[in-house]
Amino acid sequence: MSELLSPEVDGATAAELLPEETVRAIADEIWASFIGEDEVLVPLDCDLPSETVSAWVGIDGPWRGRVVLTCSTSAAEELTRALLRGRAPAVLDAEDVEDGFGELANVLGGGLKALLPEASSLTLPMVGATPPSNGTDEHVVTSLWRGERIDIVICSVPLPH
Amino acid sequence: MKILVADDSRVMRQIVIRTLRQAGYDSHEVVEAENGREALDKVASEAPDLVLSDWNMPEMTGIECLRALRASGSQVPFGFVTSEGSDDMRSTASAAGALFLIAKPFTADTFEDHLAPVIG
Repeated sequence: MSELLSPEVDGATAAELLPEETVRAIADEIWASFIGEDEVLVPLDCDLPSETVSAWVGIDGPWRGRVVLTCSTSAAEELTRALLRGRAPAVLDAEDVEDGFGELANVLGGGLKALLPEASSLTLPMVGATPPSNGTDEHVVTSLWRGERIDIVICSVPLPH
Repeated sequence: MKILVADDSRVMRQIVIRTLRQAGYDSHEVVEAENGREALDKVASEAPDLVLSDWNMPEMTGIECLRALRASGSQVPFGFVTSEGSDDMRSTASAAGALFLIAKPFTADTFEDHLAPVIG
C-alpha cells in the first residue's frame, strides 16, 4: 500500500475522482452485459427499504477507497437470478445471493479502479447487512432498477493514524 | 477440447460457461476450479486445452497459479477473465505467459475474439 499520494489523487474527493456520469457509464455497461441487454439503471430516487444488503470492495493504491452496492434483499436476490439467467434454481439460497451480489460489486469496483490515475489493487468482495462506515466524502449514485432503489456509494478510506 | 474455468465465484463461473456457449464453444467440455490451487491440481489431473482464470482468488491467485504452472513446465494455454484490466496487469499477465486478459464485463464477441486464435 502506498502512503504517498500521487499529484492526481492528492486531496481529491471520491466524487472528483469518479464522477457520477463515469460511475453510471460503468454500471450501465455491467448491467447490459451481465444482467440483461434490456436491463437499465434509471437515474431516479426513491426510499431505500428498512432492510438492505450491501456488497463492497476496497481499492488500495495511491487513492484508498471503497465501492459499496446497496439495495433491498429482494433486489439482491433478483440481481443474482438475472446473473444466472436460466440456470438459477427455483429457490436461491443465501450463499448464492452473497456470491452473485458480491461479484457484481467486484466487477463494478474493478471497472472503477481501472479509471483511477494509478495502478491499484482490489480486495475480495464482502457482503453484509452493514458495510463499514463510510468516509467523509461519501459519494452516492442512486438509481432505480425494476422499481427498486440501487445505491452505488464511493468513499475515501483514510489510513488509520 | 476441454476448458478449465477457475473463479472463486460460482455465479461468475456460470456466466463464463454461458458466454463460452454463446461464443460457439458449446461442444467443449468444461471443468471448474474454485481457486488457483484447485486450478493447478486440475491442470495436472484433467489436462485441459485452455485455462480461463480469474485473477483475484483466495488460496492462490490466478497469476500465482500461472507462474506455478510455467515453473513446473506446463505450457497449457492460459488466459485471464478478470474484473481488473489495467495496463500493469496486462503486462504482468503477458510476462508470466498468459495469452490474453479479458476484462469483466465481457460479451460473447470478446470471448470469440480472444479464444479463436487459441482453440479455433
